[in-house]
Amino acid sequence: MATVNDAGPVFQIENLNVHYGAGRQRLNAVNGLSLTIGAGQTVAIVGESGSGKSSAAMALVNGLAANGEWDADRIVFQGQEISRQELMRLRGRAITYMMQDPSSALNPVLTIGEQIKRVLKYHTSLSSAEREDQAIELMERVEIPDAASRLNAYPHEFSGGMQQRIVLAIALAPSPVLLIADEPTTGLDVTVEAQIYALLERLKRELTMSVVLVAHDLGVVATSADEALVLYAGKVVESGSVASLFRRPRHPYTLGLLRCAHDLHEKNVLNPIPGRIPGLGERPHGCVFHPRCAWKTDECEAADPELIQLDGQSVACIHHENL
Amino acid sequence: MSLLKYIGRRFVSAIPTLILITFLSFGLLYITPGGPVEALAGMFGTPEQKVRIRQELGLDDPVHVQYLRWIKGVFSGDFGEMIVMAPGTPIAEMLRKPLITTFWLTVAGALVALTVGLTIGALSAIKPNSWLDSLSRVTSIATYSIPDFWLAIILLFVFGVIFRYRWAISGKIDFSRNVVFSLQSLILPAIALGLAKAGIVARITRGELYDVQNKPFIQFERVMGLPNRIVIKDMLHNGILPIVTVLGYTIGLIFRGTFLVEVVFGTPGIGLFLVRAAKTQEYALLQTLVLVIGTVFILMNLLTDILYGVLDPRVRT
Amino acid sequence: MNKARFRILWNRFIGDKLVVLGGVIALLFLVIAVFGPQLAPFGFAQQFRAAAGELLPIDVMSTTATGERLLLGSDSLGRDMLSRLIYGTRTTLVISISSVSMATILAIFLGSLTGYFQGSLFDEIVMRLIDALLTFPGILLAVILVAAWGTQGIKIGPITTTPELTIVFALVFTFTPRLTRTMRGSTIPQAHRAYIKAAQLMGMPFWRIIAFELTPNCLTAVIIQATTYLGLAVFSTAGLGFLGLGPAEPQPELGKILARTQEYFLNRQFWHIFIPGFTISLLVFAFSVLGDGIRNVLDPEFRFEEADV
Repeated sequence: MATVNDAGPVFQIENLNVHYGAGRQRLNAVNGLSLTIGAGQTVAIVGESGSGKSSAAMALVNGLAANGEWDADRIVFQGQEISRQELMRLRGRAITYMMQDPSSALNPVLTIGEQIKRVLKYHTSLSSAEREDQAIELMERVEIPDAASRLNAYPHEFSGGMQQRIVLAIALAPSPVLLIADEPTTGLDVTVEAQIYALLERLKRELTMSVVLVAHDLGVVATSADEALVLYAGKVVESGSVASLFRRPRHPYTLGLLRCAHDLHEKNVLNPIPGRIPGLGERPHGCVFHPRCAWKTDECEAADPELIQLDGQSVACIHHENL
Repeated sequence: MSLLKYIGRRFVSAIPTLILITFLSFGLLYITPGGPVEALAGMFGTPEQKVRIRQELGLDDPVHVQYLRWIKGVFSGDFGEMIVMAPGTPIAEMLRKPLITTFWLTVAGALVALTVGLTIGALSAIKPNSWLDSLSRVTSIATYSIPDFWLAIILLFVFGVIFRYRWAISGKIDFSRNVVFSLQSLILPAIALGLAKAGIVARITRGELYDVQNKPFIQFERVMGLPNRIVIKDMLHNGILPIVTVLGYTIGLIFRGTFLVEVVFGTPGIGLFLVRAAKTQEYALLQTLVLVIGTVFILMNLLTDILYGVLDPRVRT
Repeated sequence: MNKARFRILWNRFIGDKLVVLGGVIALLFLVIAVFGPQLAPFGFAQQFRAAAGELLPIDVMSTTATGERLLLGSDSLGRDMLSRLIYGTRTTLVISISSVSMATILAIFLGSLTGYFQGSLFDEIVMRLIDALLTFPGILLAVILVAAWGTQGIKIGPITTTPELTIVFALVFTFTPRLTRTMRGSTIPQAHRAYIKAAQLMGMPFWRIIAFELTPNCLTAVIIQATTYLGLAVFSTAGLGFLGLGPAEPQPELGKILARTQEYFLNRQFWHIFIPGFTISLLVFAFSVLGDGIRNVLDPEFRFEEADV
């Protein structure tokens, strides 16, 4: 286990930008995202699909598609400023990534034992026999019953929930300091989803690891995250501790999302935010949310609002006081 | 399921098809006009002679008796005799050498198609939209349209007629006798057969290898920091799976092509043999060919399936 | 299909230059086939002589003793190459188109029945038979059939087969199994849809359900495949002609014309081996590109499927 510097943040990135393509076809997926995560903390990146949250998560482990590029002003890991190359070397070791959609995240032609042991082989100094034991231990840790005998099974022989546990076991194999979990329950049942989050929460505490959780479900964010960044059309519209964010949302978008979730939960009705998230090539001028916003004024169309620091929260909305 | 069980089940499932092939082959006797009687009696046979021949051949027996008699012969390697081209010669003996020749032609053609096709396909998958990629797209469409027999004629014309190279001559392929001449005989036919199909192989290879790069599990391996060569190995392993099915299919195409290419080069394989026999209606020969080729193709499909099972655990279930 | 949807599909089709090229070439060949007798400068069997009474030199642009100018020269029997190519294209296309359309009709019939009665004994038997037929490379089956029936033709009931008819029959025999499979494949999911269930509950007889409800909704895939098979049919027809199993003399056919060109080898006339082969290639190219194009238009998700031969 890597030593955790309790004083400062475990990981910090400033002004992250992600874009796809080049020249006239260049499309910006993430604009100026900054993120700080302390030891043992969970920071959630929240947004609808198309908000750029997965691109942001993928950029952190340099896993963007071939036409994707990213840059950032500053990357800090465990109190030390590091370069992109150094970040690259950390992935798969100190920083690992948990894929969404477990059904396609595992190599179908290799046994799960091989897939776990492989990661151990390249990222730890364990001997072959130790790797075998460690693989079984990892599988037990993610609560796969009868772990030792299932080491030679292939991914398709497991259920979706079990496959995601295996993905988690692989991501945990190098004992990471930071785990990036990208919607880890996509395509799973609600009950299985709850189990996976409970497991993730327990392991996070046991292993004192920090987690970046990419999610669209506010319920999940409320129960598992300490801090949250609300992403809309590639921009952070609001961020802060989950407690204050949920108690008093300052951005119309966050408010809309919360209302949606609340109504669905309490009254079993859906009051969606009108309109839809703009595509990569059709981001509006000014505040990205203004076409769907009930508080919209002419100023909103004129200029893109900056993130304003309030107590324990930041918000990018000029009308935040009126909310 | 274990691999062995899977292989066993595949074998069993091939049996009904094999039986149907024997029916088809046997049935040819009945769709051949006149059949063996006309052939044996010749143009001037009297009705009495024909009756006698029918009796001798047992053609008046019930169909199932005839079928069983024929299939018994097949199992003991007796496929009947030639009637017109070389009267009295056993079919098995007549077919042996042409079959060997065609076998080598198919192998050589498939080698050319796969080496060229896989190489170009893999290269254009690594660098999509490069000049090589465009070239492979254009050539694959072109080679798909160019008949292999025309390509063969052009090759023969250029190397045999214009340049008068001695190795442009193709003949009997028999590695137990004359290795150099056999190899030389393979050169042009193999190029004609292989190049005409390399484009298709390249296209499929490119598509599959390109797709696999963006599969989530490959992405997962990358972001987990596994070494590049491991990721590439896994990409190849998963990308090759659909290509394996193409393997059997390509060999089928090439085999088909040998018929025409043999005629161009005068290579004495079964294609040339069959075409010469075609006008004489050697029914037993045709029967045997249907049986042999049908069986070979069933076995080849079986082999492809088994190979697929070995490479992909999912299909074993 | 409404107008807007048609426009979208049309634009998608027009968008691919290669496909448009294929379409134009195919159309051109169809015109040549239909108006062949009007377009050809001479008859396909008409022989010309050079001034000295010898056969004409085989060359591009030659003039006969009687003053006719042969644009593409003549073959070894002094017949006008251009006219023979035009008539040959006609023969090849007639054989190809009729065999593919007959196979398609047969396949629609068989495929919808087996698909509708999926799992029945009838389905089992037909599918097994198709599996057996599919193990053969198409052209081999054709060669064997033509060989068995002879190029002279045999009597089946009231009709005497010509080599052309035998080839059509052989091609129908090779294409039908594959097309049937496709048709069955697209019928099965449709057969379980609600509108079919509704028709069954209303007591509609099964043949009416199949003919009027089911089949019209399942035709896309089989028609796409049939278009690509046109190219294949040209290939096979020319191949058989090349093997000497095609139409009898003096009827021209593209494969036959190509086979004859080997006689000119020693004259080193490249054009003569080039032109007939190139014509075949163009035809196959046009049809396969067109088939691909139609597939992309109707079914953009579709990726490679083995182009069975």
